[in-house]
This record gives sequence, C-alpha cells and structure tokens, in this order.
Amino acid sequence: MKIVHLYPDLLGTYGDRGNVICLAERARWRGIDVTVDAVERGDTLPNDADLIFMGGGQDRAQELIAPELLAMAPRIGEAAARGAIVFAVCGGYQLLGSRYDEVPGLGLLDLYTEAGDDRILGNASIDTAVAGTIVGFENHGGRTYLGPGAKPLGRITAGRGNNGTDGTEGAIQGNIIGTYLHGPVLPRNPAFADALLALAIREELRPIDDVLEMAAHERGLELARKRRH
Amino acid sequence: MSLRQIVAARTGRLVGAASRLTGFGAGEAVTGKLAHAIDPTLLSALASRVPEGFVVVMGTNGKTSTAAMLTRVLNAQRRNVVTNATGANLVGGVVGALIKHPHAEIGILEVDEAAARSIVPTLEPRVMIWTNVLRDQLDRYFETDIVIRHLENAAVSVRGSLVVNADDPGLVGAAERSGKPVVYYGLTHARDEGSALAADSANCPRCGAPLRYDARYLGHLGRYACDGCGWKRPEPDVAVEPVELRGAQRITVRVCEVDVTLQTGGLGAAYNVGATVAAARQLGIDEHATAKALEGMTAVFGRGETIGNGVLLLMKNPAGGNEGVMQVLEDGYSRILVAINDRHADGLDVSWLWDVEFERLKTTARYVVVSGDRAQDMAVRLKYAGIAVDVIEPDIKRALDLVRAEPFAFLATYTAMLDARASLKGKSERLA
Repeated sequence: MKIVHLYPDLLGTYGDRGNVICLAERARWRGIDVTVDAVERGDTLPNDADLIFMGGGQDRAQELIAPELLAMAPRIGEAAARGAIVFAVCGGYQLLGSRYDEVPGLGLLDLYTEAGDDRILGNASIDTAVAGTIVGFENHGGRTYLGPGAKPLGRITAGRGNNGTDGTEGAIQGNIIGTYLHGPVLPRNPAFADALLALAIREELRPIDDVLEMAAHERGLELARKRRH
Repeated sequence: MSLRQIVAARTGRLVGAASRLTGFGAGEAVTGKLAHAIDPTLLSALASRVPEGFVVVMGTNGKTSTAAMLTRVLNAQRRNVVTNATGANLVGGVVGALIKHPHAEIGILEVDEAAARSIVPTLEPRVMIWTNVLRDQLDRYFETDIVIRHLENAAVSVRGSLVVNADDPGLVGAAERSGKPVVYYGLTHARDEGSALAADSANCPRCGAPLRYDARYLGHLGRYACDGCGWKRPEPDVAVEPVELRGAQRITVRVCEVDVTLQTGGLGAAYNVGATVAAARQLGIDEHATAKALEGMTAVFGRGETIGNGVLLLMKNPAGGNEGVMQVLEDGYSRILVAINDRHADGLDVSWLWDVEFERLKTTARYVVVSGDRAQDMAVRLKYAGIAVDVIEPDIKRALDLVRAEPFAFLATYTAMLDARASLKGKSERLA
C-alpha cells in the first residue's frame, strides 16, 4: 500500500508523524508491503495513494502552504472518491473544511471553523462507531461546526471536542476523516489505526499483539476522566 | 526602599527560609513570589540597586547553562553576581534572587519567554542573549512563532546589544526586525547526521520560501540560505569550532583561536560557550579570560551530569531529546532508562516523543526500562522505533534500582529528573 504524508515539515507540529509511523508499521507487521511518500512544497500528489495523511502546523506554516493545498484540493477529493482514505489531525482537519473565519479551506469536509475565546486544552476521550473509545489530547483555539454533509467522528465522553458546546468530536464524510486529537492519536488507539488501514486496503486485518498500545490507551482514558472541565 | 517594600522582602524571605527548611523547595522562588505579591514595585526597587545592570538570557534550550557559564566568567573576575541559578525564571524567581543578593554588582538572569513582559522592561538589560527557539511544551507556549514574538517584544527594552545564535533563522529574522545592535555567535560545523525533525523555522523570515541548508545541525539549526530572496545566515562575530563533539561528558571547542574543554557534552554546550564568549565581550571581558574561566566546567542539573553509574540527560522537548539520543549513541550505552512525566513543568501532552528519533538507539540498546507517569506511552514509542522494552516500571525509584548496578544512560523530562536526582543523591542533598 502507499501512504502519502502531506507536508510533514510544515504540517507536523505535534508529533503528527507518529500516526504515519504507526500505520506503516502495523501494515508491515501483517506482511503488507508499504511505501510512505512525503509530499513537500512544490511536489505533486501521487495518483496511487491508498491513504493520505495531513497533520497540523503553526499558523504561519499553514498560511505558507495554503495556496498549494487549495490548488491540490480537487486531486485529494478525486483520490477519496476513488477509494483512498484521507485522514487529517487538528490544523489539517480545520483546513479540510470550507473556511477558518474568512480564510477559505479545501472544502472537502462540510464544516467550518471560527476562532474561539479560549483554548480547548487537555486529555479527552470519545465514543465512536468506527473504533469504539478513542483517547487523545486536544489543543486548539478554533471552534468547528459540522454541516449536514459531515457526521461527527465521535461523541465526547471527556473533554470539549469540536466546539465545546455540541458534544461532537471530529468528522467523517465518505472516505475523509478528521479529528482534533493528538497523542499522536493512532499509536494509543490501535483499533482506530486498524480501522483506517482496513478501509484503505479494503481487506480485513489479522489481530496483532496490542498489549503496550492498550496500556497507553487505558492510561489516556484515566487521564481524560481526571480532567476537571 | 519604602517601608512596604522592606516588609515585602522580609516576609518573603521568612517564608522562603521555611520552605527550604521543610525541604519543599529551593526557597528563592517562594520568597520572591510572596514578596512580589505584597508589593509589585519591589522588582524595580531591587533592580535599581544593582549598579552594573543586567544580562538577560532567553530562549528554549540552554538558558540555565549559559547563565551559569557567564556567572562563572564574572566570578573569575571577582565580580559579585546575582543569578537565578536554580532555573527559577518567572517573576518570583527573579525577585527572590535579588532579595537574596542585596550587594550584587551585576545580574545574570534567565527569564522565561512567556513571563518576560512582567520582568524585562523593569531590568532594561544591557545585554540580552537569545539561545534558540525550538518546539517546546505546546500546551503552554503553543507555537515557536509566538515565542519569537515574545523575544521581539522583550528586545524593545534592551539598552545595549542582542547576542544572538546565527544558526537559528527564526531568531536572526527577529533580531533584524528589532533594529538593535546584534552580536552573532554560531558553529562552524557540527555532526553530519543531526536530526532534521521538529524544524519550525526552516522558512525564510523575509519571503517565506523554504531555506536551503548546506548543513543541518539539529532541527532548524544549521547553515542556511534562501534561494528565493538571497537572505542568508549572518557570518558569526564569534565562531565556535567543535574540535571534539562526542558523547555526554566531554566537549572541546575552539573559539577565536582559544581551546576550551568542558566536562559536559553536546551541541548545546558548544552553543552556550559561543553565547558566553560573545556576551562577556560586551561586558569588556576578552575571550582568553572567558576560556580560562570556563575550562573544566562540569554539567549543571541533568545535562550530562554523572551520578553513580548513571549519566543524566534532561529531555524537555524534541531538540533536547534528539541531542540526548545522539549522546547516548556516541557513548554506546546499552542500558537505557527513559522516564516521562506529564506534569505542568513537563508539558501535559506527550505527542512530542514522536518527534524524537529513538530509532537511532536500535544499535546500542540492550536493556531498556521505561518509567514515569507516562511510561506506557514511552513503551509504545519505543516499540514503533523497533526497540524492545524490557520493563515498564512507572515508579522512578524502583526503575533506577533495576539499572543502577552498571553504567546506564538516563533520559528524563524535567520533573522525572528532579525525582531521579533526589533518589540517586539521597534526601540529605535536597536539604543542603
């Protein structure tokens, strides 16, 4: 399979590369041949991606990359329509929406984001249909609101989620999935990582040893429950 | 001083002494915090009594070590120096240090980036050192660009010069915008295989184009130029040549034809020597006197410090972690203990562990123990780096007992390092 990592240098402030390492290793441990292509500034999107990953960057980095990403949006949309999974975290998730305040986004997810008064910050947990309980760390100033075309990735069980008011976290629309959760989110939620892999290669995956991953998952759940707000 | 100021200082000192006696803390920060709460004008009154003014050290990594080096140089000149040596770099720590040293002639103070605006304008520093701005504690500082803005704001009240790391393009951009006189220091070269991860300022501060690196030392630190607009790294006024850059416990550098050997290791130590030589020059001390004073200096708190069989490497952020990993690899340690906490001083989010190239330790690691509040997350990180974890022991004292019989490397976050040092040195040290 081919994993494409969009702009790892500019969109990868929060250890987001851990998600790519996790996906690649979990595929390899099952004997699947994996290549990881990094798309840097000036590169074109490979047309045979099975999974496209995009992390979050600093404000200035996201401004620098926005024109290229906007130009690339139709090709990312085509890849998803063809069956590739697009997975984005935090800043990348916001970019997939229609806008952040007045700044236009890629328009691939039916959602928009507005700047909030305070930062949503801390350990969080959500309940999802795709992978059961997911734990992670939220750290964002934006408030994201879903339109009718997008469904939430999950419901908040601890933490504040997309906007701190409606109990939703993340979004799914066809093959495009976004979340605010860091951690990075996939290594400590192996069921979520495997769900994305299985969707990307359209095959069932055999179970592997997840004792360490589940210990980190449980610890994350404990921390999320202890959070005060 | 006004009566209120005197009362504030005395009350703070009493409580600080109590804090020291009960073994809760270093005392100074407690003293200062309380005194500052009683009278916020105290900082200004205390600062005005230091006749030769202040050198302020700011930046992500290297503040404590650089302040310690410059203090050592001034002490060698028989100057009475006030410094916040315990790394207490918020307003309480600064006020506490000033209360404790009423007869100081000059101050060498490290200041937290986010706390700078409540401290630096009052100090009106004659020299301000910028070490680097690297990705660190994102739940507290958010972005490196925000930290760079804090430094720029702090520069406004500098009366003399900025001393700036030429190898950090983000800092050089900010120094140019400040309009202040700038003295640059930088390295002539470093390791060939430094980690390029967590490079946040690798774009031209003028035109935004990606910078071209002829040499990448660590993250976005290196020798760079912009092909877009022609902007490039300034030639350092103080060039540091690493003669021997290997491992955690020793480094030799050549600065202005003079060799200095320190009993501490790493790229950071080389940079700190550069910053110290450049700042000392601004204070009228030449490089020979500086080199002589620094010769043989040992590590400060957990920076290649040796206790028993352990070499202690503080790992606060990706850059520090990647540098620590290189030192462990170069020293060839096969026993490795990694302790990760997620308390306020460590940063609540441990995502950054994935920006550290632990993969490099695959060749040397033979017995690996993970510890701390987030031992489980560290175990997962190592698993995906291809390194087998032998024991997960969240309790740091018990984890140390597993490795301490033979030489071992200890990589730890700030509070995990505090716990480990207390355990390794025994309780008597903490009270001293």
